[in-house]
Formats: sequence, C-alpha cells, structure tokens
Amino acid sequence: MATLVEGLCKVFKECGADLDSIAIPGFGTFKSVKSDEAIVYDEVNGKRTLVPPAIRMEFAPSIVLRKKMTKQ
Amino acid sequence: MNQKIPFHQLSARIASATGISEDSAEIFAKNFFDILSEELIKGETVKIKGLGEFALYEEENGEKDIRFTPDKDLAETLNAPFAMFEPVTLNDEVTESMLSIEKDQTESSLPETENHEPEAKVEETIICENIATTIEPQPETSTEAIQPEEHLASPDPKAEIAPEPETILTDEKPVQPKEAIKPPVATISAEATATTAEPSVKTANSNLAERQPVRPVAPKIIPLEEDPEEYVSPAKGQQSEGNFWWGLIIGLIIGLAIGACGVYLAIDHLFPNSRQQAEAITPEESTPMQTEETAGEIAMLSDSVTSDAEVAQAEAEQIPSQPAVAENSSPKVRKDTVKRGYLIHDMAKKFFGSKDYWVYIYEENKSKIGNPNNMQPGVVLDIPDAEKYGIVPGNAESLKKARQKAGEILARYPR
Repeated sequence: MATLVEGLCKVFKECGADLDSIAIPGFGTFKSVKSDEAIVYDEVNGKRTLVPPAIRMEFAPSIVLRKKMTKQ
Repeated sequence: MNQKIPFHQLSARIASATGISEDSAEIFAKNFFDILSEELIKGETVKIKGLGEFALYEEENGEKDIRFTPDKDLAETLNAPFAMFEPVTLNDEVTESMLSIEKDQTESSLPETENHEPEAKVEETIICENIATTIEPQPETSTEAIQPEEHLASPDPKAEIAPEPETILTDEKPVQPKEAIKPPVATISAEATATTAEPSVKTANSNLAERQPVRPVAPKIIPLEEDPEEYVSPAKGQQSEGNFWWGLIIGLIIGLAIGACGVYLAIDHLFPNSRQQAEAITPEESTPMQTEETAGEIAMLSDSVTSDAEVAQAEAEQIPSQPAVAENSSPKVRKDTVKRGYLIHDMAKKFFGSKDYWVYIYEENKSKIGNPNNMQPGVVLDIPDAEKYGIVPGNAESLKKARQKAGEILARYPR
C-alpha cells in the first residue's frame, strides 16, 4: 500500500514538474501554477523586495465534492 | 507540458511507476480518492505523506471549501528549477523599469487570494512574515496545522534567515490556532492567509528591514544604441547611370541614321540642281561610250543617207514649216543649258525619251549651235514642243525620221 502511495506521489511530482494538471473525476483537479517574479513593496519600511518565481501545486475541488460537503 | 492528465492516464503512470497492472492501478486510484473525499466530507483533515494536506474550511458565504497544502518534498521538487533564487531587497536606485517589471503588474499579481481581508497591503506584509515564520515551527499551532517549514516553496530561506531565528520568535505572536494552513512564500500572488495577525506582521517586517541583501543589486541595464544602418547601393546606382548613357548614345546613333536616310531620300526636293549636276557628272564616264554609239549610228546612217538624200531633203524642207505652225499653236518653250557631260542628245532623252530626237532640238536652235559636233557648255537651248516636230516617243516611224534627219545634219558637218 505504501508503495502505491509512493508511486502516486511520484506521478504527482512528475506531472507537477511538467506543469501538467491532473484531473480526478468526482474529486478535483491538481494544477501546477508558476508564479512569476514579483516586486513586493513594504509600506512599513518602504523597501522593495524582489521575490523570485516559484512553482506550486494547487487543488481545485470538483463541483460534485463541493456539493457533498455543503450538504453535510 | 501544460497538459491535462486524465484519470486513466494517471492510472497508467501509477502502474508504470509501481509495476502493477493498469487495472489495479486504476482501482487503487479510484478507491484512494473516494476514501479521501469521504473523510473530507465528514469534515476531517487528511494529511498524506509525500502528497500534502487536505483541510476543510468554511467561507464567509457559508460554503465549504478544501484547502490543499502540498507536502514539503513535493513542493521542493516542483520548485527545483527556481531553488537557487532568493528574495532580494532592492535599493532605491533600482527602478522597476530597469527590471522590466511594472509595479501595477506586481500588485495585480497578488490576486487570487482566498483570504477574507481585502487589504492588499496586509497581504504583502504577510509575505514578509512568512519569510520569517517559515523557519521555525510553531508549537502552539494545532495538530491539524502544517508546520511552516512544509509550506516552504521559496528557496532556502533558512539559509538566509537562520542566524536570527530567536529574535523572530520572541517578537512574533503565535498564529491563531484555528488557522489550518499557512501559505508558503511562493504563494505570494495566491491565497495569502488572511487570518494572520497584523502585529506579528509588523514585527516581521522590522526584522526583514534589518536583513541585509544577500545578493548584489543588478546593474543598470543600459539599452544599446544601435548605429543607424546606412543604406548604400552603389552598384545599382552606377549600373543605372551606365545604362542611361549607353541608351542615350544608341538613341543618338539611330536618330542620325534615320536623319541621313531621310535627307538622302528627300535630297531631290531639297536640292534639285545638285542632283542633276551629279547625274551630269556621272555620264562623263560614259560619254565616250555614247559618242562611240552615236558615231556608230552615224556611220550606219551615212550609208543610207546617200540613197535617201532626196527624201531627207524633202522632209527637211517640210520640217521648218511644221515648226512654224507648231510654234504658232504652242507657245510653250522650255530651255535647258548645255553642260559638260550634258549635251543635246541628253536633253533629247530627257525631254523626249530618246537621244535620236536631238535633231529637233538642233533644228530649234540651229542658229545658236552651228556644228552639232562641237557644242560649247553654257549655251542655252530652247526645247521645242513634241507636237511641233511630230515627236512621238517610242514610235518607230518617228525614230526613223529622226535618224534620217540626223544623217542629213551630220552630212553637213562631218567630223
């Protein structure tokens, strides 16, 4: 069982690295989103910080799952 | 890249990664996510090692939503291409235009926040907090909350902030226990946690201010000034000029040739006398031949002169009468001048079509000519009308008469 979960996680890593999205019917979609570099302005000290780009994984639940949760 | 992986393809990949059949992988994946969804529906928070945490939270409108926080290992793997980059504090000299990043874009890139605090300023400051807070785990947080380290999506903030962990901890207030998830640093433009406390944010900012930039500021980008290219095509220009001159020369030659042809053809109209002179001159070469011919004719005629002498005399007597009548009836008299190479027989051929009719011209100008064998140039002769002497060009009888007449005349003036 652990091997299968590890395999699942490995697949998620591979797809995420390729910026691919994984659609699970009835559950949701896992998307890899790349955020570009940005300048963050801090009004407190007035300094600007250049934040590097990054890739993160996001999850969007499906409508079916949301409805189920709402019903509950 | 940027593809949407369907469920069956996911199952195939799991099967290839684990060495099981695709059907088994599909069954596993289906049951896996079914169990996961059941737990989430119950309101439970599910944490899967290697994948992440799924937590349920309630929005303002009462709807429930699932917040996913990827596992540390997964986050690091995804962000591996940008792992070497670190946040850098910009100096005042560095402008956004130099970095080709507009401030508006950056502000607008902080959008997709699922937080409930509308102020964007707070979100930006939250980021600073996360940079500080991602270092140390917060024991006061609930078990459901994921340790901040796990949220780390930015590259190695520990390396940068490690020297000052204690100060941060002392200044910060604990995060609200109800907060389940803390967004990673990478989620700057995404759902920043709205529930973070403001005082903790400010203290984090102060700590941030104390930090010194790790990396040097990028040098100013000065656009290269490109020298304007000068368009030069000497070859084409020279060729065009050469072609022009060649065309002009050829045109002039053709024009001159056409002009010369036209002058040659129209020279009779332009200079009629000159043409006659030229014809007069050219017969000089053939005059010896002509004289010989006339001499031959005279010799031939001389034989018949003696026999027809009486007939010729009779005709000669008749001829003067005819001219008198002709003169009275036709007052038209043409004149011509004797020239070198242009004699009386040439005039006869010109006006009457045959040299034999010279006798009539002689008769008309008897007083001026005298000896027809010795005619001086410059003498102006009167050319009689053809009807006066019964001259019929081309008529055999007329020619015969003329020859007889010539014999008579030449008999008087032997050479």
